[in-house]
Amino acid sequence: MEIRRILAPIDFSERSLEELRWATRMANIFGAELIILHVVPPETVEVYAREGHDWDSMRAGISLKARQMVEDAGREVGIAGLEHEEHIVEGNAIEEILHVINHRDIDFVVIATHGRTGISHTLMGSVVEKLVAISPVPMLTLSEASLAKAV
Amino acid sequence: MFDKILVPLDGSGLAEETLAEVREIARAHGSQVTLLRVVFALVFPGADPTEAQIKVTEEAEGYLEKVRKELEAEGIEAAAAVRYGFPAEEILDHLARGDFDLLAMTTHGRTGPARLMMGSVAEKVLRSADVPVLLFRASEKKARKEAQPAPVA
Repeated sequence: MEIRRILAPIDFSERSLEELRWATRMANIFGAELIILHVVPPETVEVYAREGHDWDSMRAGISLKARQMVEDAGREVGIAGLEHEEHIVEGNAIEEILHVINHRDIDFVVIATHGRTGISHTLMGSVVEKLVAISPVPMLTLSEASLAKAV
Repeated sequence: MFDKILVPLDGSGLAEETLAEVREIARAHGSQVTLLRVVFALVFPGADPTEAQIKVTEEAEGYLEKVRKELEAEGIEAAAAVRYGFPAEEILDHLARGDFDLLAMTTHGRTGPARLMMGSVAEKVLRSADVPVLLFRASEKKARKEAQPAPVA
C-alpha cells in the first residue's frame, strides 16, 4: 500500500480536530502529504454573498482557519512541519470529495463519521455512508464513539 | 496508536487482501494482530445444529491458524479467535472486550447478495466501533488490478 496523499474532509467541528490528529499521524507514518478539504454548500455561499461577502475572500478566510486547525492538530500529536494543502470549494460534499480523490491522486481518506442523532447525521453522516459505498481508495473512519474515547 | 489491531476475515480471498496493508502497519509498528472469524451454521429447521456448528467452527479455526502462522513467520505477533453468531454484533463485542486500537476490514468481501451483507456489516461496525476503522474495498482493488493489461509472456 503506497500512500502518498491523504485526504481529510473537514467541517470544523470538534470531530474535525480529532480527525486531523489521526490524519496527521497517518501522514507521518506513510510519509504522505495531507490534503484538507472543506466543502461549502452553494446555499451558504449565497447567503454570504447577499450580505456583501465575496467568495474569494471568504475562501481565503476559511483556508486560513483550516491551516490553523491542521497545525494545532499536528502540535497536539507532536508532529510538526507536515506538508499540507487546504482546498476550500463550493459544491456538494460527496461530489467534491470524489472529485478530489480522483483528480488529486488521493491514496487514502481519513474521515469522521457522525452519530445517528441530530442534524449532523443527515449531513456528514450520509456523506460517510455514501463514501464507504463508492470510495475507490481505503479509508480510516472515526466514529463518534472512537473520538469520545480518544479525547 | 496501533498496538493491537483486530482483523475480521470472512474466509474469502478478497477479505484477505486487507492483510497486505495490515502486515505493513504491523511490521512498521510492532503491532499485535488478532484475526477474527465469525461463523454461523445454516441448518434445516428441526435438524440438530450441533454438528454443523462444530464443523463451521473447526473449519474457521483451521483457516485462521493457517493465516496466523503466515503472519508469525513474518515476525508479526498474531492471535486468532472464532466467534459464533451474527458478524457485526460479534465483531463489535470482540472489539469491546479486547482493548484494541484499530479495526481493519474490507467492505465487500464477497460478491452477490453476500456482498451486500458484508457491506452492511462494515457499515454497522464503523458506526458503532469505539476505535478507528480502517476500511478497504477489496473487490474494487482487485478490479483495478484486473483492469491493467496482462504482461506479455
